[in-house]
Amino acid sequence: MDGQHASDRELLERIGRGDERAFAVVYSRYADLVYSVSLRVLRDAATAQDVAQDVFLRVWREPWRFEPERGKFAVWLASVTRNRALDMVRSQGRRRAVEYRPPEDAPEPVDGSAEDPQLAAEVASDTRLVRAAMSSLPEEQRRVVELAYFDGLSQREISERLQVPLGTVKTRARLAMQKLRLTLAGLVTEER
Amino acid sequence: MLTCDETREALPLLALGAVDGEEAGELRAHLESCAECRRELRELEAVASAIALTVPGTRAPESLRARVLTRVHAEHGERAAGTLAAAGVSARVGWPRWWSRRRLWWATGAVAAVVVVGWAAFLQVEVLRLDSRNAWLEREAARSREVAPVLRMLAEGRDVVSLPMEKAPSLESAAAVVLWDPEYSRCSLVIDGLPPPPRGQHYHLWLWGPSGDRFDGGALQPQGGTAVVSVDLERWKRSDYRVVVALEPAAQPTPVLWANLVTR
Repeated sequence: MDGQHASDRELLERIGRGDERAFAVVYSRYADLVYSVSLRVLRDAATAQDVAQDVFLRVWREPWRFEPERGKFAVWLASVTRNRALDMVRSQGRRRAVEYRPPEDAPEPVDGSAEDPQLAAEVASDTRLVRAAMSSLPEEQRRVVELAYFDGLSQREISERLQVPLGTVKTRARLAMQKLRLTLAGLVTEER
Repeated sequence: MLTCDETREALPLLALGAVDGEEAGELRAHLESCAECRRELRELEAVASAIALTVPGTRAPESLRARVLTRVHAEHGERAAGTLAAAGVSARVGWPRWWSRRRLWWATGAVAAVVVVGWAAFLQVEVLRLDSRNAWLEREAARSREVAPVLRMLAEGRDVVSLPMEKAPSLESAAAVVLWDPEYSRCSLVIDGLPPPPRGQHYHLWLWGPSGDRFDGGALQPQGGTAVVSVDLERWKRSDYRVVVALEPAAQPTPVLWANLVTR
């Protein structure tokens, strides 16, 4: 596919000029990531597809919203997807009482792009890094982070869900973020 | 107003989006006036963004690809149509977008084809013009090559024999002479007033030997009825021969101009 080895930044510039091929490459690279994040938040395939479509249309319409100096495109895109999915959850007034359980058949990390082995390896490496950082957190800290980030629960809701004092939630969140910050410093500041 | 310490205690959860209500308002108020805390929040938000990468990988459905790309294609068409409309180009309402797009491509292709064809035609004309000029130059050069020996014979004061050529009745108005330099075994034909040959024929130069042998001197190419041809007579040095101009092709080449030379 045309432009499959171009950087994300180059592709976004081309998208800004209305290059559909460049957009198709970006889609191929990140469709799995966007859909996975959307599905993780929404836990519903149909709604997850709607959100994924919205996210990609936003990339098509406003590629300039990504600021390379703020980090990697994959991270930005995943974050945008998460925010959009949470907006969907809130707009539907849905709040899940049941906690998320990851699939048991150890899924592969999102690969970023099957057409660009180098990029796929890079994204997979980033994914492994973040996963390792999350896995290194104590279980109680990780749960606080996941409930806040993926489920969109407020600190008070987390407190109620975990049946721990609000102060404990704050402490766990602070300790978790401190550790993640140290581990992921390079990832969140680099540009592809 | 919250202090920096109080704010920083809450920033991790704010970065994770887990602070709302009144507390969020108080934090925002502090952040507006504290650049250091704002910087801290930005860094924590960047870390939080990366958490999204920890999701289990799931293949996006193929149908999603078609949905997204189709939608983008449609929006692209609208964007292009909007651009054309803004430029004062009217679009036919009711036609499918792919058709408008295809028409645009066809129109672009047609314009490109016209440009290419026009350019090719121009180049063709130029080539023909240059060919014509080259042919003229070659003819002029050939004429110079033919004329040069004549001038040399005259300029060097040689003992040149001038032999008026016999003429057929059809060339009565022509003037033709053979300038012959026996010492150097060269001769030149200088012909003027040569009428155009009949359609399908041309004037041809021959040297006829006494024993029937013939030397082909080539076609005459008169310019405005004038022709100058120089011939090397070395091989005829010791024989009598006849310089002949005949119309060809013909079943029986008939001389229309001729002169008899006798070598020494």
